[in-house]
Amino acid sequence: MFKIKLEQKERVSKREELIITLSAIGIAFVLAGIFIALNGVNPFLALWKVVTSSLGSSYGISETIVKAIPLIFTGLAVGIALNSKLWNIGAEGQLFFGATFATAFVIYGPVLSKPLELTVLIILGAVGGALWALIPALLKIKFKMNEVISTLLLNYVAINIADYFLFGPWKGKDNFPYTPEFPPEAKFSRIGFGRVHAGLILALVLVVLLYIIIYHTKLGYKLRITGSSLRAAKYAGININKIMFLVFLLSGALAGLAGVSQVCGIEYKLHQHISTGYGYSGIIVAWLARTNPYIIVIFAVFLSILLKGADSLQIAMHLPAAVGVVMQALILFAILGSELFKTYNVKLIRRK
Amino acid sequence: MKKITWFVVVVLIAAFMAGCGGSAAKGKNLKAGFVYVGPVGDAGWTKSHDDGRLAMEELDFVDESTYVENVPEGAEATRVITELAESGCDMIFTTSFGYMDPTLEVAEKYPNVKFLHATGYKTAENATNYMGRMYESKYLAGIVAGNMSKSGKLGYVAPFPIPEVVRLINAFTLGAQSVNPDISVQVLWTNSWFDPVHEKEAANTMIADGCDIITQGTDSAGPQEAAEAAGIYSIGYDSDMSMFAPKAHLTAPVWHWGIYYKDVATKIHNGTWTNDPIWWGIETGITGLSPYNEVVPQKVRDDVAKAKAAIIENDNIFTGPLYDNQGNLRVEEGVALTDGEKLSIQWFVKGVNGKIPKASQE
Repeated sequence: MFKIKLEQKERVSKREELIITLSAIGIAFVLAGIFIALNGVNPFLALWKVVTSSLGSSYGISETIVKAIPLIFTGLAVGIALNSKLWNIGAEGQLFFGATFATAFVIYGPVLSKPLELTVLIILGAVGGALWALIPALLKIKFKMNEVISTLLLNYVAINIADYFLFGPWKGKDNFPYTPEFPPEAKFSRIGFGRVHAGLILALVLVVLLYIIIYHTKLGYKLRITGSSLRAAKYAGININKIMFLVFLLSGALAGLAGVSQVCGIEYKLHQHISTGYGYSGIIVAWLARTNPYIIVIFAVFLSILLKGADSLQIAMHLPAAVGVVMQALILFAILGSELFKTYNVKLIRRK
Repeated sequence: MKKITWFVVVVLIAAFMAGCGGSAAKGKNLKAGFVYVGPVGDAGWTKSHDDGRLAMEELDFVDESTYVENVPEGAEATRVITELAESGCDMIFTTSFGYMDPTLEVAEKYPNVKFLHATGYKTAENATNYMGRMYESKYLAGIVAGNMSKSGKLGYVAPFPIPEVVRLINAFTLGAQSVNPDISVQVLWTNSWFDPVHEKEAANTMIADGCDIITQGTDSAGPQEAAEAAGIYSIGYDSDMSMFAPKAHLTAPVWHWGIYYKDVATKIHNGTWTNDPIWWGIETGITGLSPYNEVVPQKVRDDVAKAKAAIIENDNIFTGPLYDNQGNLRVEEGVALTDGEKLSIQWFVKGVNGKIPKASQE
């Protein structure tokens, strides 16, 4: 008989951490490969198809970037909170609330000159997302309510609020749940590469900014200390509640920007499908990237390739749409499982 | 070590070739692509289109058909439709209302591909829209429901308050009222085409409220299962849903898209296709009722057959006097709704308990 023994690790080197993460992705791919093979398709060919459809043509690359943009925003949103060991599962709802906020201005506000209009929309989107994150922040700080549950459940509320407007006051002339198309002043410009829009620039600027904040400012230091040990943070005289509050607002604002980027950058209207679960996929992106903003960009592109590739697999190989969802789930599963190996040495011991 | 490397290489090559083998061309000449809003396993709307796709595939000159399921109605659809066009499809069918603008957008870039959009109203040189007059079959299903209901309260699980759905609810209600004028139809919106859990809950709510027949405009079999569990009757939609509710399921107004898909493929193949929108009636067989449950009496079946003959003779379902559910006379005696009025209808007939949310610009 064997038994499994866990020994706490002293510390994990960056290299070890990277190896564990990559092996987890590898395991997820092997499992997904088995799933694909069970559907009667050669998994190597499927992988090849996923890669070529996303990176094999300039059209494919541009569409990969288009889908990566919201994932960068939500990845940053979840990532900044994870730095302080706060779980924001509510990026999806904050995305919708931010988009609803910005759309309200497009519908009720005056049409301003393009630079001014877009500035207002970006600010409103960030404020909307932050406001929606304010609720779980206050619940956590005042009543110690677990933020995983409050942020998750508030997603459904935010989506229903958007639905209320879509099915009622804002519905378009077809009586279908979408708003009229935004005026040209409220649309992000395209940057001359397929449908890639200025949301990418905003996202990349934020990536750099957040990197500097997290790793090169006092605030970032406090934020990381809070994440690594609440006790240490208290000893250091850090006002933990204030930090948590700030982190929540920042996280919500980033997710709200994902919403603005979707409605102003690609959809040009508010409707029910401005996000295909980007708020949830952002969790995977942030977790894979270990919250480092630069690496978040890499994994946003990685996930975009997988999600987009799932559609190509349907077209070319007649695989069901569930393949994409299964892939995402397997990666998350493997990554979460691999955490064990980062904190513990796992040993098999022979029983006498 | 070298041997192992060689072994791996050989296995990889073999695997690669095995994968390529399946897609050898059969030497025929049309390829079709389909965009679906739900999964093909929805047992409803999407399945009815997929059955049509498979029927079309049997044509000699249809080389291959492929589909993408669960495609969101928005900018994502533009990408999927483009990928289908890029993959060499000669005709692309987009089967939900929200694909209208994306379809037209892609159609502009691929003039040699034909684009066919279900349920919409826009056309282009190489794009058109198609639909069947499902309200006729809904009316017939209403006759069955009106005959089988004891409480006189019917429950309707409905997706979106758009004209198409409103029209079908009205037709079903009028069919039921042709048997029993006092019948009322309760409507609950799910705000989604496909949401089995939500649809089932909506059905259960209405059953608890005294509805003794459940029907639906949504795409999943959830409402049917709710009726089966409650021991009442139900009327399916889109596809024959009897396998999910063998006791409850009386019949279902269903789509036979294959009739249209074969027709359009033939016309594209022999060069006689035009971009005229089509809205086919029950006489073409594009809609109809699925086989009856054995509990439906012969008299009811005869009533339905008679009504169907009358509809084919003279499309008379939306003929006045028709009152809306606020009591206003909407259609005067002897007047019938025009096709344009049917396509934009935004009011419920008398006897429907439900509200259509108002847009602010109205």
